Amino acid sequence: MEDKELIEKLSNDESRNFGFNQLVRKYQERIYWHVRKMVIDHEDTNDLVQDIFVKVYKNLSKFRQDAQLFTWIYRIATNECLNFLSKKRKRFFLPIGDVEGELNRKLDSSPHIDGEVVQIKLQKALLKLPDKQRLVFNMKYFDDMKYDEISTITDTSVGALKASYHHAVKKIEEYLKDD
Amino acid sequence: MKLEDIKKQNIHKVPDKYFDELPLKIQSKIAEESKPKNWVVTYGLRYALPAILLIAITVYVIIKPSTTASPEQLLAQVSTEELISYLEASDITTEEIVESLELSDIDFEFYENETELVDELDMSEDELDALINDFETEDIL
Repeated sequence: MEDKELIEKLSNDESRNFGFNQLVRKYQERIYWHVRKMVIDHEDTNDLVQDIFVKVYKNLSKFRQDAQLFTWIYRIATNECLNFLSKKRKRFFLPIGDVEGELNRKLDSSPHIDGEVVQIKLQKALLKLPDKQRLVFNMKYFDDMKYDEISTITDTSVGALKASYHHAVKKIEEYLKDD
Repeated sequence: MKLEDIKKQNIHKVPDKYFDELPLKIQSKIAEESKPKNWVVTYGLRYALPAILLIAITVYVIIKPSTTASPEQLLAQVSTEELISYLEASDITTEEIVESLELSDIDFEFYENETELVDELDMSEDELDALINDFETEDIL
């Protein structure tokens, strides 16, 4: 179903639930993987994705139709991820290294991780980046999104995004060289 | 190693049928959150009940009456005859008993005229001298 048709369904009280169900089925995998790359753990991702879509449902009336539907959902998902990781660091006053350590351990031991050694090394290198920089890298490198789209989602200028991505690549390559 | 040399691969896996079931889970969550909340029960249980329990426990600990009697109370339950029998049967001497007493526990009665005590003894001076001579002086000092 096209976004335009989805928005029409969502605007109507009688068809809202049906339209929302279609929206979830259309975007659930993209949102899931976007979140999963950030928080690593499947259970955490599962909780977050459900919270994200509940938030989307509750805020449907606030959706301004001058923005694309997916961009709006992606923005909610991005903010929820960053908030989740921020709360994780603040909980029990954990320093940044501990959250990185925890996510590293999940990469090593989770049954829902399966990849070649170099792929896991790359994921560990990504965990060394600040959350927002890692987010930008994921959207550009793995999701192949355009800078304009990333700019709308993160509310950051295209120039800043390009610089951020460029630095992220350098840091990752340094890490892979040293390791 | 250059990033472009690494093949793009998704190393994360999901349980089987996860995406088939996810929309239903989300719908259920929305339905659950849409139910009207009983604010009294929700916030009462979450905040008021633990606070009340804590206050109740604190008050109980502070004002709890002692279940054990003091030594004086226990001693008061023993009759004078039993006390005398015990003291006679034990090895404790009169001097040890006196030494263990606090001066404040003893009601001293002082005669204004020290001869009054002697007069009350109803003894002749010879008898009194004999009595005094029987005591070793270090016993008195």
